[in-house]
Amino acid sequence: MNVVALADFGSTFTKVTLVEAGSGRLVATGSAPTTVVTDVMEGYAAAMDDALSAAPAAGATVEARLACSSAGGGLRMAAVGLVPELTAAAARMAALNAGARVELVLAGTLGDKDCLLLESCKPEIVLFSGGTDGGQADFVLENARVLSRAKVVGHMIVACNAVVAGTVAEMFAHAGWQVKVVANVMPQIRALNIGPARQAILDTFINHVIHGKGLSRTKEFGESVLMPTPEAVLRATSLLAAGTESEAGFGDLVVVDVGGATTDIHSALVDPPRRNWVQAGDLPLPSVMRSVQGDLGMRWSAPGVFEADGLWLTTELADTGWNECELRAKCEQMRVHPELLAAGPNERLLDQAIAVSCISLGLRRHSGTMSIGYRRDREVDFIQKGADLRDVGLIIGSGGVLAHDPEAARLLDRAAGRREKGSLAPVAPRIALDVNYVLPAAGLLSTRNPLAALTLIKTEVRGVSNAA
Amino acid sequence: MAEARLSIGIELGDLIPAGLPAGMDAVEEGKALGRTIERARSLYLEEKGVGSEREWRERARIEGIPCTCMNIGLATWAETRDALGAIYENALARGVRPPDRYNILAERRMGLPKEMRASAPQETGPVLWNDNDWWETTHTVPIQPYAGDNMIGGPGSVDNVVDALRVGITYVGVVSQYSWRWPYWDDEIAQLMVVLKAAGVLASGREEGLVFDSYLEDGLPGVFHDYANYVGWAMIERYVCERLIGAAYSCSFGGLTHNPIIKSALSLALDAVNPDRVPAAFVQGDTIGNKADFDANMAVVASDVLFMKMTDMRYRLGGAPIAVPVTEIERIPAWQEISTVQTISRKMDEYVPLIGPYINWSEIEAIRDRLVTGGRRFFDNAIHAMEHTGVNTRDPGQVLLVLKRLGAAKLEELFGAGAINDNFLRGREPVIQTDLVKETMAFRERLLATVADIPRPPGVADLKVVVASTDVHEFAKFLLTSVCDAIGAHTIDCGINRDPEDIVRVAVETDADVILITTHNGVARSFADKLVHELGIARMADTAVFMGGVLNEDVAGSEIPIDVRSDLHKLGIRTPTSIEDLVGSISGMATPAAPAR
Repeated sequence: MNVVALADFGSTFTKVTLVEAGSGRLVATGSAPTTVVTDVMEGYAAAMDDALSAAPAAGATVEARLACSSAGGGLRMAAVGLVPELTAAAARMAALNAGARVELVLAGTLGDKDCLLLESCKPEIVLFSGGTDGGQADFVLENARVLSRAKVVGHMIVACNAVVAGTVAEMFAHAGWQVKVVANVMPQIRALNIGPARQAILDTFINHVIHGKGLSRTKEFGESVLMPTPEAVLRATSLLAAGTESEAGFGDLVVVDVGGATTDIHSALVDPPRRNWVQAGDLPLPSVMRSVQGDLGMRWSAPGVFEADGLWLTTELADTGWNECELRAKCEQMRVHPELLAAGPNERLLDQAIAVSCISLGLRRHSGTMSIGYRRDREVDFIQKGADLRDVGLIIGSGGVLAHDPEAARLLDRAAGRREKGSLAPVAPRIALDVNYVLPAAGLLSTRNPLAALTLIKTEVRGVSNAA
Repeated sequence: MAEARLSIGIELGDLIPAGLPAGMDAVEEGKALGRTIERARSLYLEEKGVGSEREWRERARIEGIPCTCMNIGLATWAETRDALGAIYENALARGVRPPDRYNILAERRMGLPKEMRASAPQETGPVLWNDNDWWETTHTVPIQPYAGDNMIGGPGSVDNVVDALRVGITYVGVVSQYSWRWPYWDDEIAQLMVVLKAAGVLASGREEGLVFDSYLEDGLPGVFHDYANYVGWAMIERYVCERLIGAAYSCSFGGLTHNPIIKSALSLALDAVNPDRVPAAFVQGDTIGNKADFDANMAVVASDVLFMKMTDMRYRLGGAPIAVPVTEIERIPAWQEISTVQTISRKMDEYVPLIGPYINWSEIEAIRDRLVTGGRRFFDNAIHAMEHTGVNTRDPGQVLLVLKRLGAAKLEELFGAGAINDNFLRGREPVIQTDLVKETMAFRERLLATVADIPRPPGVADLKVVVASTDVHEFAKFLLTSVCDAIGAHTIDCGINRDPEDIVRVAVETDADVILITTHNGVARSFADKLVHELGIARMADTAVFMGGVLNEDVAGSEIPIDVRSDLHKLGIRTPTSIEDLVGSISGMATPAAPAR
């Protein structure tokens, strides 16, 4: 049997998924600790052995090896723009949608302190934007001039006002940056064009960044890694929503991944609602979108969860007998000792409550809000900020606590039900679970066989088929 | 299924303030009050031998007796009363039937509670100050009055309806005026409850022929873009008045309808959604077709009245057309001018049977059917959306308040009968576009023709002009973007209802040379202050700013907004006095070589 080996180099574990080459049927999975200190391919070999040993006795011939990676800190980026709500937001969106960790966003007219921020951040890629095409030039050139003085170099993708993009590129190249110029992320007001910048980020990641991390000395590693892991999940999300030419998708959906440090939300809208009566701002949102909540996570970010949702957690966990101070201390302990697993029923309840918090707050932040602007004698205005996901019919829980907790479906349901007035989070979604963590694998597989990738998701994500 | 049914995406219940009293409580109070009122009979009702105007109008339509109506409102009630007498005598002297009814065009103070009227500023039109004035409305001549303008709608609604019923008036309005605001009155909720109580008074006499009338154009439909939505709005008012409150509802309209064919179809559509066939109080004559040439306006009156009468007679609507005096566009008509068009109107009765049979009514009926289908869609969309987004559609107060707060533009955008189409200002293609919109589009064409004649340097094409409105007036912004496009500037449409911060953000990213603001919501000075401040922060202080529209500001202590143009000039903002002035100023910033900035 010919199989495709689909690997995800995670920060702690490397997971390998074997699927039948033509059909996408799951053959076996395996995992092993990621071996960043020596060579990540050692961990990969162990994970592959684990998977092959679980494969049917008839044996499997590996036809192709594809991989995604978030090892070594994933893809760290900075986004630069002019107006925070416009070009800077567009650049940030492009970076997030390429699977990056956006560690710094710079906006406005920049100065020396911004250079210092860039130097301390040391991003692997900077996405530089600003101005519509034919629009703002002076401030954009000024920003380029300032940033080119920073004592840091790396990969710079220029996606600004096309009229000055060449000049901007020259400035950065002169300062030692590896520069690539692509189309403006916001060529005009109310137009978002993040596709070219996103592709440039992925190309740079594959061709340069992943090699520069020193994760492996082997040629095989560099050849197999196609994208950052979040990008693979986003591709799977998009595929499942839209389907393929021959097979329909499931329509609008959201994927939630609660990790130890972050909560990642991916959404895909096949047919976004058209509501002319709503004022939705000058920056349209892409139909496929990813957000990362850096303060919401099960271990390293547990204190952040308590900070954001402490009152609810305290009320929710009243039966444990822990008061607010004790709960805060527990969360801090989780940050300091992320390796510890829940001990006893009360700590299990705490884990579950934190998971519900991460999901519900993550969904709220990923989704937009709708408010009513009304003044006597003025006509009313409906102001939408962010994406309207209320009609989303399916939420998939993926990875981490949602893969391992037997009550994961209930937790997701509970989190989705914690609605806040004015929130545009999904209203009545059905729940599905990616227990075997096949979404990154499906995203990888979709690059060579979308139908097989769709089959893999439909057969392996629990609850998806029932949701049709 | 209509698209708005799927999801409007808005919680309309959020428009209802906490503690809004139950509307039906006010209605029941009104019904109890209504049962205590002793009603006299007017001279007209005595002459006809009926208990109510509705009773007569229903009999008249069966017997094919045409009725007419007139608007009248001179400076005082005494002058108005004397004019009524003169019109009546003049008709008899000419040998024509006097008008059947008249609309009292009362002054706005009549909308206030009685005790507030004397201290409020005087405006145009008569005020009925005492019982004798009221008595004379029905007992001067046998012409039946309609207590409409400023009677029900304002905080004085209950005072007025009680006085009207006492003297024998049986049609009282105006439902649609509930959306108005009266000077010296800021309690929107109290006003609404008084209107509902007044409606309850009328409901108490539904079986005796009391009617709660509306005039569509006085309310939100007056600025609708689609006549089908007129019909839908009338259905909503009928639902509230008849189903919820229990009053008989009639629906008058017509002033903003210039095309006689469309007007005929609209009359028929409003009749088709009127299951009890309550006769409309009146059909208003065309008020937008008349221009400065009074002689030419005779043609407007003749064609308008003829079609209103032919439609009324053929379909036995029981309406009462108003012939608009040809001078009304420029002044309050004298009684002689009213008599003239009333005589024309009566004379037209002779032509109705001669011309009516040769009109292609099936085409008019086809338009009617489109209007009815569209109107039902608007109604269904609105009621369904309210029901599912937190509004108690059994409470007339909640329904009326939410619709009022939404306003005309949002109502059409949300619930409109037309298909969604971004090429139209309200995002939907009208089933039948209103004449108001047609007039505006014609105005735009004239404007563009004017602009085409203004010389401008080629450098205009390099100018980036951001256009925005501080309010919901999409027409004004539309005209400005059209003009900017026409002169060849690079126009950046920033949208309506924008804040200064929104505009500055767009100006920064686009490196705007000019910001063009249209404002009609009484915030010109504070908006300009903030805009200039934000431009300074963004290092865009040299951007030229122009403002137009209504350049005033609501200020504490003044009942009316004050003119703030001099304040704007101090801020460096230009306020062009005409479109030529604006185009000249913008063109002046351009040079063939480079933009001015």
